[in-house]
Amino acid sequence: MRLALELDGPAPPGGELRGRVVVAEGGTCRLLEVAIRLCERSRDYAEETVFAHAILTREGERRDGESFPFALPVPVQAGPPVNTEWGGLNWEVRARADMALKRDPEVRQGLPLTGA
Amino acid sequence: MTARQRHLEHLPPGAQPGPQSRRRRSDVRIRGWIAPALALAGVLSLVSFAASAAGFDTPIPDLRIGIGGTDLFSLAVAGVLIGIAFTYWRKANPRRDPRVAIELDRRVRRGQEVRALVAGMPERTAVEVSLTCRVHWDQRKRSSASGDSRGSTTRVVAEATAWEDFAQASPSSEAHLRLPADQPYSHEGSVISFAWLITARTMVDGKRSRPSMPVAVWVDP
Repeated sequence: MRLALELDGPAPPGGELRGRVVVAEGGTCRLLEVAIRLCERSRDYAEETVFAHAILTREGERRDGESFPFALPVPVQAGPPVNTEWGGLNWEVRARADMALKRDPEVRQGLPLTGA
Repeated sequence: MTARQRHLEHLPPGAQPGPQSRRRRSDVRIRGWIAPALALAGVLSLVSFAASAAGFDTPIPDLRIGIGGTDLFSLAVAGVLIGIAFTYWRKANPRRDPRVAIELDRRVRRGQEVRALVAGMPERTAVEVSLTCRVHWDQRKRSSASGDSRGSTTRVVAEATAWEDFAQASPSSEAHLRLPADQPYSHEGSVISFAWLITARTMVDGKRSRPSMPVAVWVDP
């Protein structure tokens, strides 16, 4: 199974991000979800925090080209990526399918922000 | 601001500490006991030396190594312990100039200018105002116990200066500093945090005095 992420455009912090998850290559999944996450990393550690999350569909066969629209609230503190020699942070949108006994396919994209 | 609150000096009033800053608060509380414990041990060693010199039995017999009838070892141990205790205490309570204070807008955006107003500026004295981006990042520290080659790791919060700029305050006690658009914005995180601070210090004959209490400014993206 393979996924694609289509976003309608950038959204302001505190606004709403709209888009759709498209099934590029079909398959059977237990869950299809999309989330806005903050990925932080230092030289030695990394952590990811989910700020907004939506379950798009539950168990079933997904066909090629099937599309699942979503709208997620953008956190007010969201900002552009930061990279330093000590670490950094990155806001991203991630779509993921939960597969039984297989590697979960996922697609990630930087969170597009207006004015960023 | 007490030593226990000093770990929050990078936050302007009203800003909530993030998970990393809350972890640092616990570390500061634990480390706060080191200096008093070392100072107490140093005082006990001094008492031991005084008692030994006066010809009494020492309260810490194990420390006694008589050199010419006088327990110099206790004196040396006392000196080292009190010295280390002072170093720890000074690290938790850095020297600050109480005469100089700063007033400024507490919330700005990257690329904008910050106007800092220096209060208590002595007459005919140059004042240097600094704008600093401080980064706190989680670091893995390895320690190997004797006889154990594997060692252990501890997660500590390290601190560094990510960016710094200076400006001279005008005779009207104002300083203008521009926040760079390509540097980090304020962030209170779990693994990494960025904070912006402004300090002022007087300069006499080209020599910088100790800095004022830092004032935090929240920088939006």
